[in-house]
Amino acid sequence: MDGRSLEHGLGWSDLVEHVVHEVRKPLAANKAYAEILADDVSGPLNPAQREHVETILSSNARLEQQVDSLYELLAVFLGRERIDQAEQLDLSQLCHRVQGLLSKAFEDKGVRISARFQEGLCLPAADEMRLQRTLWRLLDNALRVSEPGSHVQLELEQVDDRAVFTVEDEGPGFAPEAKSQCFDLVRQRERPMGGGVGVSLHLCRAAVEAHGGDIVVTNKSCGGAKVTLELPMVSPEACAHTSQRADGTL
Amino acid sequence: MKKVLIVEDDKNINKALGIRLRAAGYQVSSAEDGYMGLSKAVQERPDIMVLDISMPAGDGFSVVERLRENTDLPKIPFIILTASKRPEFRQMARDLGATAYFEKPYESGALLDAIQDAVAGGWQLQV
Repeated sequence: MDGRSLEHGLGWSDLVEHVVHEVRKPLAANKAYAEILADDVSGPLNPAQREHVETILSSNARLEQQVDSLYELLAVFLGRERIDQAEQLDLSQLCHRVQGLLSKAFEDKGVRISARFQEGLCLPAADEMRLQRTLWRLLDNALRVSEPGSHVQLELEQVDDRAVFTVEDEGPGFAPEAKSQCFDLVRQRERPMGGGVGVSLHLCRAAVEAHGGDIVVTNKSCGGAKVTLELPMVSPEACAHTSQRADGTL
Repeated sequence: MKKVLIVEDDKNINKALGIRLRAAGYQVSSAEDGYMGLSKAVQERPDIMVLDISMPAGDGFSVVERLRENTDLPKIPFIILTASKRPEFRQMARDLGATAYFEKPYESGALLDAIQDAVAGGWQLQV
């Protein structure tokens, strides 16, 4: 898949962009109506109804992430990956947001998530949505390999001049041969991860490297996997005017 | 009561946004293509428009450009709401003076905040 034309002059990029565009419209409608219900615009919900609506929103968010992955994967394949809309980004806010997006999925599976974020850490120029998807993928992967009753930990701290994220789970960990291949698209497809298209870590690495960072996977001595993501950062004082894409900012 | 014109070809999104805006106290008018949107904008003089980009019979950008050609009309603030992820669309929205830009699926609360912010000062401020 390298952007060559399919039949009738259509390219892969046209095809994927069309699919992403067409899927995002019903996703938007689903989300808009679910939010109308969740915010009691059509009248108050009982607890069971509220839980059902939250499940719809959670599932919709998961599908949205998968569609975005498809688009991002195309950009990586075509060598068009870049940092879009680079702006200052408050990383602790990002962590809180991603934790919130996945809290329902963790709750439903009975997996506990704990978080410890050092406040005020910023990147000078980051693609917020791309890094949000990266963190989301790391946590989602951890959730997928976790058994009910187990624990996933997300941490953010400053080490020297870098912001370091770690995601630890209590799953089976990476097989020895998989550790060196888990970022490879083809190899990752062959490794059962409990579902999914098997491109997450490949996309994570692409996003992290686009921001001048690094990502490493290890196995913990007590069992489970640990993914460490490092990004170069700026001082907390420079964070004062961080903006968020989801608020409609141009 | 502030008037919002929604120009969006997806009936479900158009209707859902209308429900939200009416519940928030806005007067809502809607169109399902750019041609109808342009006509309603001229006739109804909304305080703000929420525009999709890709629609049959005229995209959101062409609605804005045609309105700007009519010098008798004040500049009506507008917000772009699109399913496209093309970065050039965001730049075009910026160049045309959009007050905000949302990709679908959008956060309803954030969109309402952006609409409220845009109409708070009145559209004369946008001229």
